[in-house]
Order: sequence, then C-alpha cells, then structure tokens
Amino acid sequence: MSRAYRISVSESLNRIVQAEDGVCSKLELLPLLSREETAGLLASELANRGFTQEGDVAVRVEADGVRVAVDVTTGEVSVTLSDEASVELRATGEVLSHTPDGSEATKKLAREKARAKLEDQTQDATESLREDITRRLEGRLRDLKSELDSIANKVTGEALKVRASQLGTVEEIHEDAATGSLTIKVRV
Amino acid sequence: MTRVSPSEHSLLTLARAIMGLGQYAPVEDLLRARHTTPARLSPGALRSLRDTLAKGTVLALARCGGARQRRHLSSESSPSRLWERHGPPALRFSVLCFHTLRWLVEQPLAIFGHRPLDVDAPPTLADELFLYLCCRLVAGTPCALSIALQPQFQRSILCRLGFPDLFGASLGRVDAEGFAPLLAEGGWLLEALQDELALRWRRLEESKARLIEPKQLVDLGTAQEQVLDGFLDAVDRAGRRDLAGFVLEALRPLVDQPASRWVSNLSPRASLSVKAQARRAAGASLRALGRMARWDAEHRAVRFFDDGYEGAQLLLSAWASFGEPGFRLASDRERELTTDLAAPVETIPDTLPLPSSESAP
Repeated sequence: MSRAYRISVSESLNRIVQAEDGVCSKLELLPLLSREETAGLLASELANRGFTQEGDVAVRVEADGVRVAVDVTTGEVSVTLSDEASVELRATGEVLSHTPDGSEATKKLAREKARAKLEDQTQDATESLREDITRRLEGRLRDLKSELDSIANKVTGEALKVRASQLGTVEEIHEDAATGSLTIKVRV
Repeated sequence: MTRVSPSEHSLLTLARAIMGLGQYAPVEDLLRARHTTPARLSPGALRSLRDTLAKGTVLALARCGGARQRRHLSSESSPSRLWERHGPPALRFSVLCFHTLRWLVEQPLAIFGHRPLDVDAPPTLADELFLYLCCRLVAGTPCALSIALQPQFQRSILCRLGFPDLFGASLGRVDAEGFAPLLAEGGWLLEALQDELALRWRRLEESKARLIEPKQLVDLGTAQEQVLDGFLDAVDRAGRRDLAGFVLEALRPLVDQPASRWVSNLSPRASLSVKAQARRAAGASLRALGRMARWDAEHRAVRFFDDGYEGAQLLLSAWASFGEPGFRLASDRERELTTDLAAPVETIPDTLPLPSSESAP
C-alpha cells in the first residue's frame, strides 16, 4: 500500500491595505439670491468654521482624518474617511503527494494554494479596515449633520437679510438664537 | 362534454390558471416538471382553448379593475366601467400565445438549462395581456427567473411595466415610444389594469424594506426608474396623464411612513457609500411622484377658458385624495432618503466574525 505524504509550503506577506468610505449630501439652501451671492455667503461661513477654499470647494480635514468638502456653488457636501494599515500575513498551502519530498509540480501547487490564501486574507484585512472606517465615520456623521444644518440656517439667514435690503430699507432685524427665528422689518 | 388527451388537459389547465388569475400552487407541478404536449390540438381542445382565452380575458380585465367605475380622460362623462368607455376591442391571440403555453408546460422552469422559448413574433395587445398574466402567476416563485430570461417576456412592455423587479436593471431604459402599443386604441388595456398595477407597485415598494443587500435595492430602484421614466414620458406625450394614477394609488399608504422604512433591513456591514446608493435607489417611485406633483401644479394653473380645462379638472379631482399634502410628503421622504447624512443605521456588532477564507474544508 503506497503512503500519502502531505507537502506543506508556507508563504508570508507584508502588505499595506487601504480602504475608504464616504457619503454625499446637499445643503438645503433656499434660492433667495443669485447663485454667486449665495456661494459667497456660504464660502464666508465655511471659512469662519475652519474650511479652506480650493477653487469652488471648501475643504476641512478633521483631527480624526474625516474630510469634509463643500462645493459652494452647488451646496453639495461630501464626507469621506480613508485609512491604511500594515498587515503581516502568513498562510500554508498543503497538497498530498506519493513521495516524501514531493515533485516540483506538487510544491508549485502548494505554493499557489498558500498565495491564494494570502490574497483572501488580504481581502479580509481590507474589508475589516473598511468596516472600521465605516464605524468611525458613522460616529462622526451625526455631529457633522447638525453642524451642516447650522451652516445652512446661518447662510439662509444672511441671504434673507441681503434680500430684504434689496427690497427696501431694513428698519429692524430680530434674531432669536434659541429658536432660530429671524424677523426682518422692511420699508418698501 | 369535450374529450381531450391528458397532454391537452395539462395545457388547458394551465391556460385556465393563467387567464383565471389562479394561484401558483395548483399548477406548480405543471410548471416545474417536464411534460409532453401535442404539436397540434384536437378540434375539441382548440375550441376549449379559444373559449378559455376569450372568456378568461373578459374575466381578467374585469377583476383587474375594469369593472370598477372610474373617470378617465378617454371619456368626459361621469364615472363609468371599462366597457362603457370603450367599444369591445378586436383582440387577437397570435401564435406567440400558443407556443408560450406549450413551452410553459413542456419545460421544467425551476431547473436551469431547459430549452428557451423560441418564438419570434411581435406580441399583439392580447398577447401582452397573456404574458403579463403569466408573470403574475409565477411572480415570487422559483419559476419566475426562467420566465424573466426569455426574450419574448423581456420584450413585453406590459410585463416590464408590471414586473420591473423580475427583469432587473440589465435590460436598460424603456423609451417612451416603447409604450405606444399600450396607448393605442384609447389606452383601454392600461385603464383596465390600473388597480392591478397599483397592487404590483405597492408590493414592490413594500418589498424594499425586506432587502438586505444594498445591490438588490440598487437593482430594483434602477429597474423601476428605467420603466417609470419612459412610461411617464409616454403618457404625457399622449395626453393620458390619468394612466399614471396607479403610481399614486401604490404609494398612497406608504408616504405617511418614515423614509427609513424603505431601507430598514440594509446590511450593517455594507459601506456608507454603497448604502447611500441604495437609499437613493429606494426613492425611485417617489421621484416619479415628484414629476406628477409638477403635473398637478400645472393642472391647478389651467384657467376655465384654457384648452384642456375639463381634463385638468378631472385629474385634480382624481388625485385630490392624495393632493398637495401627499406630494409634499413624498418629496420629503425622497429628500430624506437621498440627503440624510446621519440616517439611523445598525452599527456593526463586534461579536460578528468576518467570514474566514480558511473556514471551508
């Protein structure tokens, strides 16, 4: 009776895996002024909140790596987070052989199996990193949403004041910070 | 009593189930197993088949909504039934119908690799109804996929309108011209199927809450959008906006519910970007309602001395129960689905291990 021998080949791999995730949204800005005027007000408000203007896009990168980009002409917002991680992977490929040492073809097959496992492990590591990024991003989104809502309200308020001044003489402006209401008295 | 052979009996049984709006269970064996059918029917069987198709068509149209009194732009009178608005159409079932029936009985539809339906004939209006009722019989069953892969069903514009989920997004957009056959002869077929289409589309919307994989939701929403965009274009150009009323009826009870309902079961493991795509796709029907809201506003602006005043008033009256509040709700839901950054989602639980590449033997 012939014996079966197990031929094992180990492979290891050091790799840097990268992943990213993000969402897009849009600021709800009423069309009270022209697009350029509204863009100017939005850019000004974003600058006050630490955004840096890069052409038509205002960008802010948070301490945790979250990147918030706002297109001031369209109001489109994108929130992204990317990260990378260094992983050390190790895998073993096994093939049965009739000889103790195994032929070159057998060793090659075992090596290919080990490499295939390494690729699977790399994908697992990438997916794991992506899930971690998603978790971190979800944790930040609620705060960002309230900040973006606040920006939209502020810009809308400023736009109302500008529009009121275009309609006539502004006699009185009353803002209630608690409720966010804005009352403008205009003499036309 | 007409005597038929056992194989003819199988064919006639299936025809009765299809035209009689029957259930899938009693004919499941006919659809899942392989049977032989005669190349030609005996005179008695042919008479029975003609009788089944003729009477079954009337029954199906009446049950699907034709018997209800409704107001349509095709008739400016008070609410009336389908046969009061239109004269009896000359319905003709072509060879497509007979060959499809034979194929459904002969081929084991739940098994892949069976012979495809090989009939190259343009469907008549009667054939469109027949193919639609075939889809209706097998929707949600293991036989549905086999039917959806057949070119004859894919070319059926009525099937694509009633069952976009069956055919998916791979078939591409349906142009407005594609709906011309359904709008011919006064659009009577679409008038008759309003209730049925409303039911189909409501079930589609309700099914979105059960989808887990974002890709499934993206496929479904894309398929809906591909059909609805072309359909709304077609009815608009034909001056038959009333025929889009089934979309309102379908979504009427759903717009009151929060937007998260449409995406409540999405996998927590999916990335935010993929889930955002899925959320956007989930709002496909709501975006169609946005277009109908603009139509509604146009109808309100039609003055009593303008052309089309009576038609505008008819549509305002028909859509009044949904009205501006309903359109506003639909718009809010669609906006929530597409722009809400911090949508309530399940966080990925730490105890769930990743599927391991080494776990399989």
